[in-house]
Amino acid sequence: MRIIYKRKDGGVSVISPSHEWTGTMNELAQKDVPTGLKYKIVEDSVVPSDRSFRSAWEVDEAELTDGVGA
Amino acid sequence: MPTLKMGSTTVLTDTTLANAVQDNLTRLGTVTTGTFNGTLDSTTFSGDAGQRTAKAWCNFSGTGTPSIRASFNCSSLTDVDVGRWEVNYTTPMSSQYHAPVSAQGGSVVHAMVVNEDQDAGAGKCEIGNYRWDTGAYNDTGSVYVIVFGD
Repeated sequence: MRIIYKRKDGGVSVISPSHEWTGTMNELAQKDVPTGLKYKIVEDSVVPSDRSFRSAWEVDEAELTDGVGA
Repeated sequence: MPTLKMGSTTVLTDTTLANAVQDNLTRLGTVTTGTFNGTLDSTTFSGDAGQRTAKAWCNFSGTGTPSIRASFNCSSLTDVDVGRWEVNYTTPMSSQYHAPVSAQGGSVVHAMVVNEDQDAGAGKCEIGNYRWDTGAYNDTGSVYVIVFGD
């Protein structure tokens, strides 16, 4: 699972948990997504592995419905 | 005869050895008598031992879907953009003024940029893999981060 959020500069950041993380993905999002930014928890397959256009990735903020960074 | 105890159990009765072990334990800064209780935990060290010990480290892949291979005190890795990542700590440092150090396993034309603006805060560090020959950030397969601080 990954956590996606939209940064204040409009770019898209993707959070991947470490092997040592023992909490839930929602707990990780609350901790590691910047305060006030909306996030979405998604399957790994949702995130492209082709990084040819990584800087051009976009996400509609309306789709970030799983919570807000604490 | 001096003895060294762990809790209520006597573990060493030889005078010379007991004194030597106690002396070395005392140097950690957390044991000041002949009796040691509790568990040594590198996340809760205080004093000199804490400052001399890495508070976090990780080895991660920065290509494909960036992810951490192995780590200590790192909850997650944030893929920010091409050649730019953030390492998030499980237990934060005491302030933003800690000392992350990074290296990468690729070409010598890369330079690691760490906490460029000093504004990452106490809970994470920002890592960038900058190619000075092209003037741009680049992904790379192996990135190493060690963090010292209070």
